[in-house]
Amino acid sequence: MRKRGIAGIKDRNKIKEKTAEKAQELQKADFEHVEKQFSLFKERLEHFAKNHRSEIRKNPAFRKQFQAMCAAIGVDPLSSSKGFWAEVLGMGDFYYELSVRVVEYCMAYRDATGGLIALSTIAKDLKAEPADIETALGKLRSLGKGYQVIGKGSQAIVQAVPGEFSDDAAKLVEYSSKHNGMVSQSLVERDLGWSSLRFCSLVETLAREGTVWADAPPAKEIQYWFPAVFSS
Amino acid sequence: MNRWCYFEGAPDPAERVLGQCTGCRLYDGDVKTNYKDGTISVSTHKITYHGQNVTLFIPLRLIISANSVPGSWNHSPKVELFAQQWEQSLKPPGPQSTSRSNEVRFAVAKKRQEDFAVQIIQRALEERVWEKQARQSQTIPGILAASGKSRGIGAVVKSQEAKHEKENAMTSEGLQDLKKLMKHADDLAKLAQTAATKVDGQDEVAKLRSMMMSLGLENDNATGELGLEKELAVVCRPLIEKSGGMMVMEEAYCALNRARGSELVSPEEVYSAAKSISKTYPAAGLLFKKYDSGIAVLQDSSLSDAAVVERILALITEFPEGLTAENYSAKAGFSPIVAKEHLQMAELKGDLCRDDSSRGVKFFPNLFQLHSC
Repeated sequence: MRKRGIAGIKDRNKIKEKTAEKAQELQKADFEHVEKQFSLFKERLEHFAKNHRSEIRKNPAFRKQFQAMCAAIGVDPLSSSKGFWAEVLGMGDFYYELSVRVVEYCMAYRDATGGLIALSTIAKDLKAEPADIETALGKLRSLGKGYQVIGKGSQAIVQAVPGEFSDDAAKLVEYSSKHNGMVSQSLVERDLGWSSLRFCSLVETLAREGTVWADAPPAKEIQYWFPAVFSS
Repeated sequence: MNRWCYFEGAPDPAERVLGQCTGCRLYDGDVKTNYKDGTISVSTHKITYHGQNVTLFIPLRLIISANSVPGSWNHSPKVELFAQQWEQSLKPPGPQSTSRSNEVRFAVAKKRQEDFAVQIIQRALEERVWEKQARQSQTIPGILAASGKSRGIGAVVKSQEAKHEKENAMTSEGLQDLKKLMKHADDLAKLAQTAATKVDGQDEVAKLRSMMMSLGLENDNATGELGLEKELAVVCRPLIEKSGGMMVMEEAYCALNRARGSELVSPEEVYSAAKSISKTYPAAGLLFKKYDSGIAVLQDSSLSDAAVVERILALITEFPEGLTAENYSAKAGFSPIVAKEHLQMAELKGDLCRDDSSRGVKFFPNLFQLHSC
């Protein structure tokens, strides 16, 4: 029964207050639950780390699997050096340092092969696994344009001069790996369906920049070689 | 699903079948394929799927680990195999060239069959009968070899490689643990996302943000990292001055981490600190700039676009034959990448014109603009 008069109003306000209080309590409890879940997870991760930390460090297959799983759930284990993964699993320093070495390597060697370097070459010279190099390159993209990776797997080529490669150029590089780094007008016309104008103007630009080398054997078609691809 | 290949040869003379399961269906990742009601047979050399009019196989040497997934009320029990890719040059034709997953999956018909299958497979993987055979074939080439490719030294090398791969592959225990951990992380990520919609008050927002960052969810690193801005300023200042007044972000990242030596920071954190440095730490006199091409630099705040263009126009008088990026880079002290960006920027503004010929790209003052009526 609703009370009448001023006393009734006071009571209704009190009810409102109490409801708001209760809602806040629930909200707080909800939030406490979230906090608890996070600290539980951290403990679980620490347990995992105790058992598998050295395996992760020594085993590139483990790291690869780990990265793939993180990506699948939308988590970037290397985005924060103070995050769970970087700290508890010790992956931070490993990848950040590798990223530094990759940048320095690319800066030093990019001119040698016209701005392109085979991923396998980088991996060999830095004595690291190609999969880890790829992860490091991915991280570097957060600094701006980064280094684009053309192609996949063992034949991947890194474009170590940020911001210069057109889609056509990337396609041509990828295609060239089928012929050990070589392309010619007739091959490209046949397999990629490009017009001679499209091919010639691109190749001219690339030759000028030193990304391809032209080889004109007598009485045969000119061959263009990507030094980054054939020397890998 | 791209690990399965058509089986057309004869079974190896030394091969023995270790066990079979009927009523199996192959999966592509989580998706059912049309290969159902087949028999999976595990031998000492391979795993075979016998379908109605097709036989597929995967050699055991590609299998790294096997685990069973018990069924639930709406999911049949399954076997999951973590398998390497075939070597490109060795792969016979198969039904699919791509796969939704790196795991080979198949469902079994009856409860407990999945455990049975995994047990047999694991034992076969331990015994490695196919390898012993490859080694034998080196001494008696052509008679005992399982296929053309497993004769001679090649066989030994391959079996060594396969062994090395197996040792390098994850322990099956590690994989199991990792999967469970990731499931937990996934649940936590979802919980955090729900909480983000209900969170209330600055305090809770800050706490949640920090938790999400720890998990690797949030990208926005605006949590008062003033220490990093100061570090950036101290480390990069001298380098910026040496290279004409600006440096590319990759170089800044390297310089910062090299200076630290240990407890390194992520590229995102460096980027974030650089982006906000002019606001959060103005005393440094540094500015972040991102060019249209996507290249990001850290530069002296006095180096506005206008100042850069002025410098170029003054410099260009020394190059009546045109200014190349190399010349400009050498003269002004900027790195070649930065030099190119400047020239392009000036061109976009209409202050420079380019001459693109077989001798390279050269820049000239835009006489059309300077002499416009």
